Amino acid sequence: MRKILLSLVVFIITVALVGPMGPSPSWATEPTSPQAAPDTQRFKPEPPGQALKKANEDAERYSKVPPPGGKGSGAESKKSAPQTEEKK
Amino acid sequence: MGKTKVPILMVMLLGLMLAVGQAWGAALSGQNFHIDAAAGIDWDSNVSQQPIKPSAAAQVRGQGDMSYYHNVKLWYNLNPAGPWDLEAKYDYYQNFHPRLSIYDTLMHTFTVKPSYLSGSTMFYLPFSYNFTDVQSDKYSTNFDLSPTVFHRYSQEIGIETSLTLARYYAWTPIAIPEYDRSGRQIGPVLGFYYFYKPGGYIQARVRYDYFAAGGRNNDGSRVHFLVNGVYPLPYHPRFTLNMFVDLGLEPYEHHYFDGTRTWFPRRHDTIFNFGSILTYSIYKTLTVNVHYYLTRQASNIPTYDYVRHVVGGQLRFTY
Repeated sequence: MRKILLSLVVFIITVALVGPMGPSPSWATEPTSPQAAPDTQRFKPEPPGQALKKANEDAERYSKVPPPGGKGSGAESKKSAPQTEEKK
Repeated sequence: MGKTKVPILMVMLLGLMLAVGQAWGAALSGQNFHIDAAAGIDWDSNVSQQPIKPSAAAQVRGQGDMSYYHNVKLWYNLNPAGPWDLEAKYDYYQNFHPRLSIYDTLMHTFTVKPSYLSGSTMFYLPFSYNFTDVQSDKYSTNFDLSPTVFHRYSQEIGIETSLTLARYYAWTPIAIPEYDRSGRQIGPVLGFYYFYKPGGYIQARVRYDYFAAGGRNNDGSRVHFLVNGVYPLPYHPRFTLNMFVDLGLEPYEHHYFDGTRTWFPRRHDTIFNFGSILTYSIYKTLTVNVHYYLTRQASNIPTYDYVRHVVGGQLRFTY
């Protein structure tokens, strides 16, 4: 638990240093266009990791399918399997 | 109303009442209803997917920014213990960018998924509808149907095959017809799974899609190779490492046209995705993770040539 709290503190300090509370880095001061819409030909709104999320959801669902001759039910497998997928 | 229709309606009503009663009873038992809620903060080096050569974009719109997001999923399984099941799912995703707010995104996804388990073979028929909104404007909608079969050969080995049929609608204004991204998509998927320990697996998946768009610029094929591994760390059971690599080859059919007299070749994109996620289980239902994603899209059309890094943390609750 101490490690978690320590990690959280480090994370908050990092955000404070590079984020809105700290000095503005170059990527935060670059000019933006007055155009009020994204370039729809290029911009893909899917968040990063979207493909991974779907892949992990599928894999976790498949892990509940019992093997031939196996007795494990999906519900039992689900309870024992840790949640590992990235959700965005 | 004829006399014969009254009994039929009564039977239908009775059937509906039984189904609702069963669903309600199951929901009360707590086995069928699930929630997955996550929130996080990212630093995104290229929110706007700006080209490496900024001059290739029509205008510079800003590139990197912080991103706050949340994602809630609610789903209900009608009969999770039986061979037949019907899952209804709602997925809500939203992000905010303090500076580049024109890229704030909102997504609603509704999915209905009947499934049937026969021995070690599972049949799925998921159908989903997605609505995406960017900067409070309707950006795209799409329908997706993916009949899927998964067979588990042994405790460790499994294989999947599926077909994707999708219809995509882009709702943003376009300058020339060639830019129209609305279209239809069809393609097979083949996947291989190695479940080497509880909660740990390796997934190798190849998928091919053909996209037929309204605009000639967007007709083409997409081939993706994904290798994804989840590894619960030994001696540290609360930690799980997830790493993946995705390689995409996307050749387009026609010469690219931007509405000017400039001659372009056929567009060809090569996409490299890499991601790493370290997850820590605080409780059984609560996890925290740190993650990093890299996307490098190399294109012979400079407008589509970009690199993107995303690093951040996420808190997630599942029930």
